[in-house]
Amino acid sequence: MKGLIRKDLYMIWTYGRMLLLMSAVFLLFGAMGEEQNYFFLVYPVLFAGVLPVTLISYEERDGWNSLCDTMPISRKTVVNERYVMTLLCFLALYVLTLAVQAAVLLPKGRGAALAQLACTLPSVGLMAPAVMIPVTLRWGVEKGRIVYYFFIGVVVALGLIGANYLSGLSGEIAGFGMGAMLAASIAVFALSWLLSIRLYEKREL
Amino acid sequence: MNAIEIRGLEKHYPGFDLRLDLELPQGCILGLIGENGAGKSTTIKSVLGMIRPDAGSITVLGHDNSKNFAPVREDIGVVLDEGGLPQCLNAAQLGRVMSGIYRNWDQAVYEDYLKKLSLPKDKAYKDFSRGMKMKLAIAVALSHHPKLLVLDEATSGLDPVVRDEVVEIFSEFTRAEEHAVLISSHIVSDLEKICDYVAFLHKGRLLLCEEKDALREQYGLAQLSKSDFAALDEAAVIGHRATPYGVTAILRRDAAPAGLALEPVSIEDLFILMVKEGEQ
Repeated sequence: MKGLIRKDLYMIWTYGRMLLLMSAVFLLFGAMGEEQNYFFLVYPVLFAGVLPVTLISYEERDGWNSLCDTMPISRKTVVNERYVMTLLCFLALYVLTLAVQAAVLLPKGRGAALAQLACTLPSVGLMAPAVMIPVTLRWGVEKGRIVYYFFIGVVVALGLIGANYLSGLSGEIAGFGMGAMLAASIAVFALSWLLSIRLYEKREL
Repeated sequence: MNAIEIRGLEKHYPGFDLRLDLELPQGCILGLIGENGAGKSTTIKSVLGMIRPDAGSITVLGHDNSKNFAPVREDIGVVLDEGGLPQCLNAAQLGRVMSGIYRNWDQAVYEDYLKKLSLPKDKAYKDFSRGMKMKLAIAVALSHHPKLLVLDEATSGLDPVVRDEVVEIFSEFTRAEEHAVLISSHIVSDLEKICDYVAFLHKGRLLLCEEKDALREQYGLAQLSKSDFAALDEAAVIGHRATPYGVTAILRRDAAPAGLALEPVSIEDLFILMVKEGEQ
């Protein structure tokens, strides 16, 4: 897995550099202004979550999937690496976003808003790759991309509506709702991981 | 021991069926010859466990390739037609990636190949010419001390100089007795130079699998008039091509009429005429 992670880091540095820079800019925008702008807060985490998935399209173009399948790496390891990389990317931007927001929100005594953010960001950052990775690994990049647009259009909107709805509820109920959302995101991500292993092991390359 | 044993392999796709029995003895180079779509890549993918056969069994380096095959790939070097290496990586980065993938990765051997093949370390793979890409893929395939080399159309699209260089590397590899090479190509002249055995694939069927030198001993090329050709025993004819001036035929030497002048047959002629004969 070490070699695969090394390869992904090289690829992220080549293909994701500009997007990383944009994420940094969005993080700064998200820290400005009086009100929280969810778009600027969500984008870096969403981007970080799907970055390892977008690498699959470059790999398919290069024929890496086929070559990798001739190496002493099981398909399960290939899938595991993809999810580990997704988690690493997500966590890096998740922690960074929370750190920046903590610096903005905590001095204003808005710890609850920070907690809400901490619970809702994984639903975006983890759910997107959780849906895309199995589809992309099994049916290829094109179908994965369709799912991605569908996800961006519908699921993110639902997530944001949910977050706004939760913010209108009383503290205890909202807290429970946010906790449930976080747990659901993690559960879906874990299920997606298992499903991807099954689907990729059956794929003919 | 055989490096590869294919028994009763069947793979079916819509409009294409592969049925194959094949062996590659250790220490030998087997050339898989066939036109595009003959089943060469399907055979190679089956050998490498990339696709699941519908029937039959495949043993590679003594291991059944349907059971926990990934560790066996440590001993297999593969070069695919499409290269397959990440375009954005350079040779130095590729070395570091591969050292994390192959337990037997030998950085010194890799660096030697880069030097020998005049491959720059810091240039991205996407900026390489087709020949350089193939040479880098070969360097990667050989730098973890494989026992079996599998090459799918590795020489196609290369200029004659690079092709010669590449063919020389393969020959060098098989100087060790425990090494074996399975190489597929539709450029028969490449295989003719280096192979010990040749296998002809046509439309998913094995037309022939023989030692290359035996083929030359067994078959010969004859230029005949149409009437002389018509008088031949059918069993003697392996393939033929009619021209306005007569018939070019490949005949079994042991069944050809005594006294008939037979020229040495090239693998390319043998393949083309056998395929045509099959279609007729």
